[in-house]
Amino acid sequence: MDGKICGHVVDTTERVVAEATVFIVASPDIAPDIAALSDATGHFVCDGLGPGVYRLRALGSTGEFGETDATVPAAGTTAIVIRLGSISPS
Amino acid sequence: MSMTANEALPHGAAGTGESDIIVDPVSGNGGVESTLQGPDPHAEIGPDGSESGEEFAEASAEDLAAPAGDDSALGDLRGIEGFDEATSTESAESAADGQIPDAGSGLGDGQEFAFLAPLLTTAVSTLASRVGPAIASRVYNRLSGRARRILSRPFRGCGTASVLARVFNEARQRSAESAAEAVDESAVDEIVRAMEVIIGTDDRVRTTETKQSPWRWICALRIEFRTGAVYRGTGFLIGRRAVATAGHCVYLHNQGGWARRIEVIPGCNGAERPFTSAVATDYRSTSGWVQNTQPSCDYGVICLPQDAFGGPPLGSFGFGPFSNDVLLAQPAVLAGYPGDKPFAELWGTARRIKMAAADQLIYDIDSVGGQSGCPVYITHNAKRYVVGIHNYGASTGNSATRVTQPVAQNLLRWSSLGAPTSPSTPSAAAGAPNPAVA
Repeated sequence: MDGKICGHVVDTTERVVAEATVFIVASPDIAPDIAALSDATGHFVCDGLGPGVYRLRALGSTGEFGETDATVPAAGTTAIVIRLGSISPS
Repeated sequence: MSMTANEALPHGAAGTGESDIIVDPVSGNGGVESTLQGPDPHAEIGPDGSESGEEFAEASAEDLAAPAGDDSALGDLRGIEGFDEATSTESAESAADGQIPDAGSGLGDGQEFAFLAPLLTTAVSTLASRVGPAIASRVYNRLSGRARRILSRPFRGCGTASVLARVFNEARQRSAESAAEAVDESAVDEIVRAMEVIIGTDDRVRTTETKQSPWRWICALRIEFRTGAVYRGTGFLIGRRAVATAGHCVYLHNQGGWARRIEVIPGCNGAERPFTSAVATDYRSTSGWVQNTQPSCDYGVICLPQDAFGGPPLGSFGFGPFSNDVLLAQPAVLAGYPGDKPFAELWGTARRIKMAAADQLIYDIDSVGGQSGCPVYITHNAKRYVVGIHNYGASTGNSATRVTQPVAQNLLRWSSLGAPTSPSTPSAAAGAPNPAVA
């Protein structure tokens, strides 16, 4: 399971959000039950994934959240943006 | 800085001919475990005590529906606000007369219907439409484990939840071709929210008594890797300076390998850190994980610095390999720090393990990212024993590395890391209990 999902968490004004927790809420197969934290640039990485469609949720420090889908290729990386306060496909 | 990827393939430097290892919990704080006397620590557990040759075992419907005994690990959750023991058994979810109990909003008679009716009306009309199968498929992937279990039960009745579940299942059963159709995500969100309100989300409860055992033995983790990636996880004390966790909490192949640093916070309770915290830079895992990313070997240990938390010892979980019969006979507790809650609140729940494979336990115990490294524990002869190290989530069932003989041998060896050695100190030999900490 060498696939990765990386990306950024932003708010409704497109500003990056640090210290948002990002975790998988739906996966095509088993996925590590570890949660990523966005850094000062809003960047995060979810690692160790098999290929398929995933649903990710980001949770901000004040409870706002956003969700989006991501398709992971076999042993590849896909990049997404999760916008807090919205739920959307990638 | 000492970090090793050692331990013999694929688990530890497991020897041959060693007796089964059952390590009793240590209460810490100068006390003894608050339960009755345990068994002889050298006694075998189960028919043969060694799972390595055991067949795959699956809990029957009767097993899953059986009520928990008074002495099960479920007792740790009784009394926690919001805990409903009835929802921890399959029989409760099938409910009397096939009625699905409405989770509702806790409103009084009449008010519930007024609140739920609009949600039900919208959801039913959407699910009954042409795009209903496609929406139902998307919705199902986002539902909690509890909601999925409820939907899988046969039912009848005309309560709000029963009606919604019936319409939902009918939509899922309609043409598979239409299930692949593109859908309006806002409609999916609406149905998910309706189902969460009407059927309920999950069974987890939060404990705030984190100064007490066993909760103080569970640690929130903030994990930083050399690439700069940061993660949340969970670990549990198995020794004075040893915190067991998932292998991917200490080693990630695509993030530079070993973690750069891990902050360990035992008994973390939101913003409260009752025992302070410690930063660790020394870890162990298995060659099976580090070299081959084998899920069954996805466990490791964080070696704490000396006097990590100050004060008296906190104590630690017991652990050991148990037979399938023992594992499937009672509910197991899974407790840790989920990512859908603020950092770091301790949440847990209990259900029976549904499948015990040779090196893996599979269960419908709700978990969320951030709980990698959680202990999965039972009580046996009035003591708590970790039987699995939680590491993966999946719609078919969450899973843990099962504590087998080689896993227990590693945990035992790691549990004494950093312990002072002297002629008077009992050695951590196979079968020997952890020394009680005064």
